[in-house]
Amino acid sequence: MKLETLRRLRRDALGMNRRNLEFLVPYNPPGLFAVVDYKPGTKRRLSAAGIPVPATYAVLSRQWDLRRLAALVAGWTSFVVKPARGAGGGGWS
Amino acid sequence: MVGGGAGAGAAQAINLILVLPVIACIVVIFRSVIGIETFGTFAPVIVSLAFLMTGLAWGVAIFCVIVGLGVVLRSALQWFRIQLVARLAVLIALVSVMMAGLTVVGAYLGVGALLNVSIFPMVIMSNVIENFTTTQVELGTREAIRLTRNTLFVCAACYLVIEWAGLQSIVLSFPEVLLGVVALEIAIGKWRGLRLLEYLRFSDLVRPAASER
Repeated sequence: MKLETLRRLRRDALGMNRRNLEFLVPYNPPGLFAVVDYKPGTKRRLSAAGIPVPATYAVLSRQWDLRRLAALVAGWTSFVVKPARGAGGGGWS
Repeated sequence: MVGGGAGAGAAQAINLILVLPVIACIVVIFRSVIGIETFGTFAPVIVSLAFLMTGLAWGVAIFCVIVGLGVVLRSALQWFRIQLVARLAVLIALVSVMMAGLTVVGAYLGVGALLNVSIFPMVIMSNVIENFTTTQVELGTREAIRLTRNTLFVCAACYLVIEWAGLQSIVLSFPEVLLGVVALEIAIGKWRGLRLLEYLRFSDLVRPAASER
């Protein structure tokens, strides 16, 4: 690797160390994790701040609510079911 | 290590206790300055400590046997479909049986290093096996092998650094060196520079821009 390449990388590339210290830590106050880990709450905050979010058709909080599912999505040609908490396939119970 | 009275045992113990933070510091350098990913931070630290007891060649051999057999047995456990904590407990039992087996083989063949196998931390080894399988399922066998190889590489490197630099006797004679170790860790923890392997990882970003000129 040329010295010029190394110099450019050192100046321009964002490595893990800098990412963690200058972005991850300052922009993610620990107290707000509880907010962003809960999707309905996150959406409420975002739309209150004027940031557009995909419409929420319904929030089902109990297993029993599932009997309404067919009726709730009847008017839509497509929809997504997501866990209120969790990511990457986790968060279901 | 076997026998030698309480005095020798205590000296050995304090030796290992004091060298542990030095190993941890070397692992930090490997992760944050060089940029090698391993299975967690504790596993390489503890396995390196075990290597110091068994010697490098036997240490690597024992690690490979236990993790290799463990991964095979762990995939057999998949059949039973049991929960995580119970599964880890079963793995600990499997690892302990393998270690007992290695000790018996060591006694039978007169290999002293295998008699030190009990130093190998069973819980950590069980965890490495579990990490291997979880990674295998989520990211593929190649990634799991890569992380295991990295872990083994970092452990071997820690062993070599400690042995070559005579760090065990240095830290035993001058425990205040640990203050320097902590200071170095804080400095690395605040360091924002690119990790060495990130220069390779990002090298493709520069090339097209350089050819434009």
